[in-house]
Amino acid sequence: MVSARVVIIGSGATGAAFAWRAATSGLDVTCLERGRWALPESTPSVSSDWEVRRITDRSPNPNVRRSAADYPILDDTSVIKPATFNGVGGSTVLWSAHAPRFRPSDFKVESLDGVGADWPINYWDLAPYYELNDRIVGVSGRSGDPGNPPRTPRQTPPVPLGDAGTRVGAALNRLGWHWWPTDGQLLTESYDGRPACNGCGPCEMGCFTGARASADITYWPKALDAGAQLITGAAVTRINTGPDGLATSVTWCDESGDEHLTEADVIVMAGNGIGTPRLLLASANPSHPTGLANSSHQVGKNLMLHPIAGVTGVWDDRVEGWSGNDAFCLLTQHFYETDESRGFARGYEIQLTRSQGPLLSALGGFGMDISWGENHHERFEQLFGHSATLAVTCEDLPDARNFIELDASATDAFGVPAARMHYSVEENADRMLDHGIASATELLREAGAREISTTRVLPGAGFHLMGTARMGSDPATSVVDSHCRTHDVPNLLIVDGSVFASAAAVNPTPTMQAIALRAADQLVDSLA
Amino acid sequence: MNAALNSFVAGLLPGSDIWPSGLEIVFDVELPTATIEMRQAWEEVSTWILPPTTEPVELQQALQRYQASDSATFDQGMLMAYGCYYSHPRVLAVIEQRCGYSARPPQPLGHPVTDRVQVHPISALNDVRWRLDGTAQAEQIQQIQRSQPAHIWTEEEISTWPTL
Repeated sequence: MVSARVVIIGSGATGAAFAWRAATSGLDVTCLERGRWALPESTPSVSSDWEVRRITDRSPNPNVRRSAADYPILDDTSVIKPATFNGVGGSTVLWSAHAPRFRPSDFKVESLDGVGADWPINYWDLAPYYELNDRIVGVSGRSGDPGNPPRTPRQTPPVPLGDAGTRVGAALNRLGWHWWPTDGQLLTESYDGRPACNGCGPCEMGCFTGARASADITYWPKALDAGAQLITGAAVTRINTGPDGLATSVTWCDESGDEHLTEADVIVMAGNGIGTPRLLLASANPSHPTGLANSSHQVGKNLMLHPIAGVTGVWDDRVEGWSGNDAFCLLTQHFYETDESRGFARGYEIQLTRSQGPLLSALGGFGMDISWGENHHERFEQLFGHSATLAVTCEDLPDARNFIELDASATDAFGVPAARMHYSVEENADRMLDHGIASATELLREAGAREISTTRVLPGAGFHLMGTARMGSDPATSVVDSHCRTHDVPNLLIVDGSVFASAAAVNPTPTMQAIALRAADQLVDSLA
Repeated sequence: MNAALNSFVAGLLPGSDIWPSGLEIVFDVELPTATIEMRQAWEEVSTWILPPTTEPVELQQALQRYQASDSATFDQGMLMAYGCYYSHPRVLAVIEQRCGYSARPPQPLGHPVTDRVQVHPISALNDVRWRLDGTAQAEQIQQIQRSQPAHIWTEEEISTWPTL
């Protein structure tokens, strides 16, 4: 048994996983979370105004939601807007739970394809932690995908394909393209005290039943049982260092604005790809004048988000897209790996999402043309329940134009400057979008859709926040090492999506959680 | 009620024999969670100069001009109007009747999926197709995956994979 005071900043997907693993190993763990518990029963999916709330006080965009716990993220310099949540469980409270894994090649993009940066770890190092994470959170799906390395049997069967999924799956078979039922952190049978999903639809609003995993209902109960402490309403304003340059404490404010200081032997950042660089940069001091852990000047740089195109098909007959979880049921990774003849490096995946409720459909859903005025209702009847959308998720490469910086023109309630988000779609991903949209269009036509519309880049899809404190072996070009320790401040760890050296073309949460679990084990080993 | 707002709502949602008009619905509803932008748009729209509802062609043209010249206000105002309209029981009842949708909040009953047809990835695609990464593990594991496609992997086996 080892002993150390560990303070974790952020209680989301990675902070929770790290807290559980570290606490079960005997470390003295305290987590500081600026938001509060978001109780599952508080989700508005039981209210008649649920769709309105989905775009107002329950919006994934903090600049729309304007919760007291949110900090400002200035996004007028970004074509994709942020989607984050501050509360116990972090952004997993408002996520869709799509849970694919990176592929082995995703960790070696520079050596295999000459783009981006390699990770100092590989898929095989993370594989046991993917498995551990799956067991804790509960994953629906089907093992045996020939497009990925093997994995253990999933905790529950995959989510049903539904009407649109059946059509698209059959079309994929006719085209001869790879596809597979999607892994999701969404239970289709009861597991670990949680019930099966009843297919209500909008996972992103929060899950009323607890069938969809979020860190507040998966990791946190276990972490608290293991002795971890969780302080809510605790907004960290800076990380402090001592004369030797090591991190010594964090300063935080409670909801009344009273300031507190918590000392620690190890400090762990788990604040997401925006919150983490914001706090590191805001913690600059004479010993670390460009911000903590930033001698490489890479903190905040290399922001990767995944440009996602939405390609929507409309069928003559109903596909009842309102039934089932809305964000996933199957995916194709047929175009995932580099093929130079396509004119871009790396690749993309296409996942089938279902459709939205009446209000969001009336507003056009994902790029559908539904006018106001005389023909509005006729058009609504043609579209509502008749559509499904293919999301084309493109790998993002690090680009100098895409970064997070501090902007003191706005501050949070405690005087910490806002994060400013700079993001435009880089050239490789732009070419990939063209190809992906063409593929998705071909697929929908094969599936019998009579009308197809496209949103080239979904503007609200800023939920995959990666790269802003990247992992690498060279302290001159990276922020953390393979153990998630910052090169400059060895007792300061970063375990969230900031450390991604590459973005892959899949949702990052399982990989983030595997990294956090591994980092906790390595910390324990290093202290032993 | 403000005449411009009346015209705005009537122009967006004129209604029909089947669908209630926006005027019958929207001002019946409060949206306590409406954003600042939606509320500001509502106030701004109330200052627009719009033809009365009795002149539908002119009203449509005027709204098109505002949509082109001040799309942000128009869009937020439309959010407010549609938000009220599409959460009203009368409208939801029409949706249920016309579209087959059970017009209730998503929970607690949900909208379970009933698969009409089961479809599976066809066997011809079951060639192991993930790309090697240059490690010995990748080659070994891919070889086993090819030769023993039905093998059920365990956490214990996978725990032997790390290289570091």
